[in-house]
This record gives sequence, C-alpha cells and structure tokens, in this order.
Amino acid sequence: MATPSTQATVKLQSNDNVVIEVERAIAERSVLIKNMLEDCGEVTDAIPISNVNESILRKVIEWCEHHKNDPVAAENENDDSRKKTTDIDEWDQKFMNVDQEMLFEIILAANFLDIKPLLDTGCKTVANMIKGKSPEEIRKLFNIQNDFTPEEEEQIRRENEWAEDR
Amino acid sequence: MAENGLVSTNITSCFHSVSSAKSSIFRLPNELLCNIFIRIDDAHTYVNLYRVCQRFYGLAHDRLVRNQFAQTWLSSHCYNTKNYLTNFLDLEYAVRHIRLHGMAGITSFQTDNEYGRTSLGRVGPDPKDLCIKCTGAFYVLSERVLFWPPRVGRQWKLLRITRRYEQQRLTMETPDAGWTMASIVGLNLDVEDVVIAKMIYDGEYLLSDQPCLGVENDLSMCDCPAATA
Repeated sequence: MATPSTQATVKLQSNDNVVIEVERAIAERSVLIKNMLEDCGEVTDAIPISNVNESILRKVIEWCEHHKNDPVAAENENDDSRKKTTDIDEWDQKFMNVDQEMLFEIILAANFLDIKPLLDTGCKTVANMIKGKSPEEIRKLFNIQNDFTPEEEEQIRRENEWAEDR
Repeated sequence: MAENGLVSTNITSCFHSVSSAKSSIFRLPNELLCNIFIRIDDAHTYVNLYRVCQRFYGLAHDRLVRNQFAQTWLSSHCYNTKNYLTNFLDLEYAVRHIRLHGMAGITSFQTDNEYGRTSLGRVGPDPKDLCIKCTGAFYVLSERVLFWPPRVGRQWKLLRITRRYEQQRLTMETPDAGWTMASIVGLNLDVEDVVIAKMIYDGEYLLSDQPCLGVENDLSMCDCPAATA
C-alpha cells in the first residue's frame, strides 16, 4: 500500500498520552500535520497534539477518515467559496450530533489542527442551532447569563427595532 | 448616535467575565465565535445576538463582523437560479443602490394613492412601470426587475429600514462629492442591507400577493417589462 519513499502511517499523541496510528493521507487532512511532515521528512516518533484529548482526537480522525478523498481546497481559494452553503451533508450532521461540550472541543481542535472544512462544518452546526432563536432562547441554549442591566437591555432593544420581523 | 451607546464602552472588560464562564460556548475564542455568528444566515437572529450578553454584543455589534456577516449572506445566496435576481452582483448592486438613496437622504417612503401602491422613493416605479396584472410596483434595474407588492407589513419594514439608513447617514461623514455610487461601493454592506437583500431576494414573499411571475419565475405569465427584460 505504501510507496517506498513516503511513510504510510503516522503516530499522533493526544494530550492525555494516548498514541493513535493513522494513515498518513488521513492525518494530512490537518494542514498543521501536513506542513510538519513536509518540513521534517520522516517522523517516526509520535507527534504530540498538545491541545486535544484522546476522545476528541479519535473523533477528528474519524472525520478525516470519512473525508479523506475529498478534494483539498486550493490554497489561494477565496474564503467566500467555503462559506457559500449553509447546508451540511447528512454524514456530517450525524457526526456533529454530539453534546455541546464535545462540539466546541471539535471546533477548537479543528482550528488548532487547521482542518478548515471541519472547522466550517462545526461553525455552521452551531450557527444553525442559533438561527431563528430569540435572545432568551439563545441564552437558554448555551446556558449564558444575561449580564445586561435592564437599562442597557432596553437601549439595545430600541436601537434595533428596525430589524424586527414584523 | 446610539450606535456607540453606553454598552460598547465596557465590552472589552467583560470578555471573560465570571458570570459567563459557566457556559461552554465561552471556551471558544472571539475569532471562532465571530466565525459562527457570520454564518447564522438570518439577519433577525443576528440582531438578536446583541441582546444575549455583553460579550456577544461586543463581538456581533463590531462593524467588521457585521460587514462580514452581510458579505457572507450575500455570497451564500447568489447562486440560486430560482430567482430572477440570479447573481450576486445584481443583488449587491440593488442593495447598494437602495442604500445610496438612503445615504443621500432622498429616500422617502411613499404611497402612490392613484395606484394604491408603494414605492421606496426614487427607487420606486414611475406610474408607467406599474403592471396591471401584477398589481405590484416594479423597478427596472440593469435589465432586471425589483418588485414591491402592496402589503402592509412590507411597507412598515421598508419604512423602518429607510429610517435606519437615514439615521446612519447622520452618524457618517458625507464625502466631499456627496453620496455617489462610487462612494457607496467602497462602503461595506451591513446587517440592514441583508434585511433589504432578503426582501429583494425572497421571491415568494415578494410575489406573494398577486404575482405576475410564478413562484418558479415563469416569465410567460405576464407581459410586463419584468417578463420581457
């Protein structure tokens, strides 16, 4: 399976010291790892992924595995093109159907590992959760405390009457 | 004016306030929260973000983030061929056109009594542009057509947006040559432009009274300039 010149697998070490071996092509969905491998050539030691724990790392690898054959976006591609759709494909929707804590961890890991399509999917998922909700519903959704004074609240409400959907 | 109201002054100090530490969404840095906000795809919800908490207000109300939200919205809605405004440039052009008239202070909300139709100041139609079959006012713009059907809720919406543009004009420095298309092109679009764009874009809503065009943009249904443009 492996060509003689490039290694077939790489080892990734989570911040709770679990080493996971993955196909190089899968690990390279992460631009951070891809650049690291390109810079260092052969890497036989496990690469420490210092910000990501085992369960999140496994989850991210699962995503990379599923998407390993996706075309890699050109580097100079316009940012707009990856924001174009708000739709998330079915597999990704299921993948993102986790508790909030994990969802935010996946987003953080995708950001750290520089996996843009995963970051986009994560952000879209959260954006879709917010869409259509009132301020109070958004607070409830994320367990956010209202830290405005009643006066501030009233002022912002008045400033934004123009946007009310009536 | 109220743009820089009392809330914005103490935003930075509240970014990591104790009260919001409980929520796991606050583990995300500002950059990622903004990344989420700009994808919300609905202007009303976006504006609701201002009222959630101090940190959300500080981020979502930031001018650059608002501009990005508007840009993302416009670029994500420009390839839907169902609409007669089929491309991004037309939609953005239309919105900038409307904003220009708002900024120039000449947009006024009018009701044409003779026809019982509404128009948005000069953006509105000349009587000769009114279609009997449509019973909607329309305005031909770079060979495409905007519709303003008579509808009370819609009239109020337009009125509020128009006022908003005029209010913004007061807070902005007028360029030496006045507001022109050239100066408005350099101006980044904002959340209110998304509200306008949504009204323009949303064909079913626009044509919901007695449409001259079918929902699927069947141009054969009417012989007004909308159909022949």
